[in-house]
Amino acid sequence: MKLRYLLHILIILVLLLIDDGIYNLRQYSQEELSSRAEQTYLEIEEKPAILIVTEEKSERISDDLSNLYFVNKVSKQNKSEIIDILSRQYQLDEASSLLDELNLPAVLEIQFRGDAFSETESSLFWQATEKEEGIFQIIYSDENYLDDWSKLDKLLEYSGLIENYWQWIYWGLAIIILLTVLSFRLSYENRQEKYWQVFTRSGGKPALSKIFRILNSIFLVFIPLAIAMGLEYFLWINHTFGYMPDFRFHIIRSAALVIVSLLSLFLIRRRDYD
Amino acid sequence: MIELKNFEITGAGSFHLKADKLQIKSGLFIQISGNNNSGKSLLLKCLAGFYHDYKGELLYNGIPEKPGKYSVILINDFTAVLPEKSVKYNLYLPFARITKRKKKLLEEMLKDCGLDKCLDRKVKTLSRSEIKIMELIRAIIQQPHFLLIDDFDTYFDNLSLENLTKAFDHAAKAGTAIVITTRKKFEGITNSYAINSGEIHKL
Repeated sequence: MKLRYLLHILIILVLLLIDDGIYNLRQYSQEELSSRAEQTYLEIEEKPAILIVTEEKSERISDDLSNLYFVNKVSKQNKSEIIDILSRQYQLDEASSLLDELNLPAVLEIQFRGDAFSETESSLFWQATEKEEGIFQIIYSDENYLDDWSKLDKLLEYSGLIENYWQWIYWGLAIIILLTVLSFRLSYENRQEKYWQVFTRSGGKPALSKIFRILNSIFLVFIPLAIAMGLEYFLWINHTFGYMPDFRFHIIRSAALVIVSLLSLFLIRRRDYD
Repeated sequence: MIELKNFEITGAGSFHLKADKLQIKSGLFIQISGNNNSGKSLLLKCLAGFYHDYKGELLYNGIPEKPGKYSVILINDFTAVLPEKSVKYNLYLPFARITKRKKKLLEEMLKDCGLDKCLDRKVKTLSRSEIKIMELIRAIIQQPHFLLIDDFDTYFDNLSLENLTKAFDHAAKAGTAIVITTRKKFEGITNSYAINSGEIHKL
């Protein structure tokens, strides 16, 4: 095999590995960002707002707030639960009947949906509570969430950047690979033209030159593609990659490259023998 | 067998070549002599299947299209060698594999022509005549149906003919028909034709 041909194979292999690297890097970074965002959503969900409301209005307020799209869950601690807590915490067993006669407020614990609760929703929450009657006190502050929101903003920004640009880079490089294959095939075969001309004129079988041209077209892309896919598969079985290579993608890409490589045969300059 | 019937070619220049009937049977050695610009080279290109702009019929065993199995080797001003490669490389170039018998025969023919010592030399170091002898030996070893040599006297002289006797004998035995074109008629070749006034005549 000629050195030039090997060099072509090597260059295509490097380009394919870079392209695969971009794809896998995007996959990995998006998964990492998504996992960090999930963590932040959980942190938001773990910071509920507490509303102290009248027992009579508590059901309606709970229903109204539950209907808000950014509210995950509303838990109510009613009078009997509060008496129970107070009795246990302050050993007021004998006083429970006395407490029962008191008009105690209910406590509503509002848990937000981490992925839907941001500064806008915080304002909506304030507006929603302002409309309600029977709320004594709201234990809630935007400042509790500022760090989370800022973290989420950054994560989303990075994720958006990657999502917006990776495809351009990835497909741009894919087009470069296609053009490289085409150019390598043309340059190689045009250099080989003299050889095949002499081969045919010296009595060699013309069919053999056609077979070699087709085989060269296939091997030029098949060898680097097989190495790239094999490497990904190897990394996957050795747990370096967390996910299995997408064989369907590899097959489609291989088919596209082989087709381009074969199509280049139509563009090869044919010289007359005499 | 190649057969020409009412064959006619007109060159881009002034010449016009006609052959009412010409048969080239296997194993024959045919000489076609004619002046410059008489259409000899174009005739060989037609026989080799490289030129199709002619009138009349050109039949290969009675078939108008050259069948794929019909092997024709044309040796003309095109140098069918890779100058940067060795003589050995160029000699074996058209062979997918070569039998021991053919290899021995090749060595004998090279020895007859004094080329046996040049096997490892680059072809570019050979003279034009040596290159043509090499091309000729390589062609004969392949035992083609037809071997066409244009401007034979440009590359080969009587001494070359003597040195190539064994090669031509082998070609005849193998059934290869050899057609050469020359400016001057070589003596001792029985099947000779001449181009006179645009027509091919048997001598």
